[in-house]
Amino acid sequence: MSVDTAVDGDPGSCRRTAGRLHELHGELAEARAYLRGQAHLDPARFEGLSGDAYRGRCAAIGRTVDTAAESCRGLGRALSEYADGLDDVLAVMVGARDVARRELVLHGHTIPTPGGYATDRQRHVYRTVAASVAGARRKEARLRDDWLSAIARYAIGPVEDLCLPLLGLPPEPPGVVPGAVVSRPVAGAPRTSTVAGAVVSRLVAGAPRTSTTGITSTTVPDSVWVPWGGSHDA
Amino acid sequence: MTFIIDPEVLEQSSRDLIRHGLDVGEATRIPFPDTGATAGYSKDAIEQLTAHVETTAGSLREVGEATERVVAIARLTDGEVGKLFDLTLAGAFR
Repeated sequence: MSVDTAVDGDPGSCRRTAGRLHELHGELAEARAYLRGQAHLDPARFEGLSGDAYRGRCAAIGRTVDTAAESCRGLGRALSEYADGLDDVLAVMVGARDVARRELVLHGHTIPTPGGYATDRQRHVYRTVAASVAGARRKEARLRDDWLSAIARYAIGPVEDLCLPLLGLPPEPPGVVPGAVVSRPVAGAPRTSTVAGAVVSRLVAGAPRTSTTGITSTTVPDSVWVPWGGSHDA
Repeated sequence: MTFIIDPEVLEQSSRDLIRHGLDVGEATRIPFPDTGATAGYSKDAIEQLTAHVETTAGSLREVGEATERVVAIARLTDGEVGKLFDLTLAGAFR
């Protein structure tokens, strides 16, 4: 089996979005501070039922601003971390391709398995490169899971609408040397409620906080999406 | 029965609320990140967030505009408005 070193995603694009989320958070924080002042506007300045209604409305909007600001900050941070991690993964892949170019064979982003005429050194280099790519793939999968967890955690509307997919890596088939050959995650994983349900089995209350069923141990955040309201009878 | 409002203060509040609403609304133009396999989910999450923030920005502008109307009425009555007006004006903030 060959080693695929292609990586989907653009750290620069993620950072641009994270920067804009940070700016939006700043605007929301300013609005929040102003609303807090208006919610406590001196009754001597605005008296009566309408003054009370004004203060009440400002307080209510302030709460929705708070929620949005928290969401912006959380998603922005998570996206920055995702971008940093993706940079690391990309660096490993670039390194693997450089080595393959010098010592092995490289077809585009793919490093084919050494053939029958390969030297022992080439086989050794291939195993080393494959192991390093496998490590990067595990990191890529962790990054993806962390990002999806952040989406679930900071979603501001119904999380069900986002139809998030299964978290975690698929288990490696038995007998395979861990990390020897790794293919990249399938782009555009299905976005259906059925798939979304699978993630819930890992996230519902009462489920182990740390899953050890896959290759990775995925620590579940404190606040996660439970589409049917927390029941885990399924 | 009368109640007092300070038109100067509320006029400023009205302008500030509208300005905050516009600033927040302007900041919702967020590009979608290319997160690879999860790009679709990322786009949905950002869209959901910005839709919520746009609604919130609209609320800020609405309260600002309602305050503007209240101030305009209060100016006509020299800052002292009767109970009936008070009830009517309170509805502007609901």
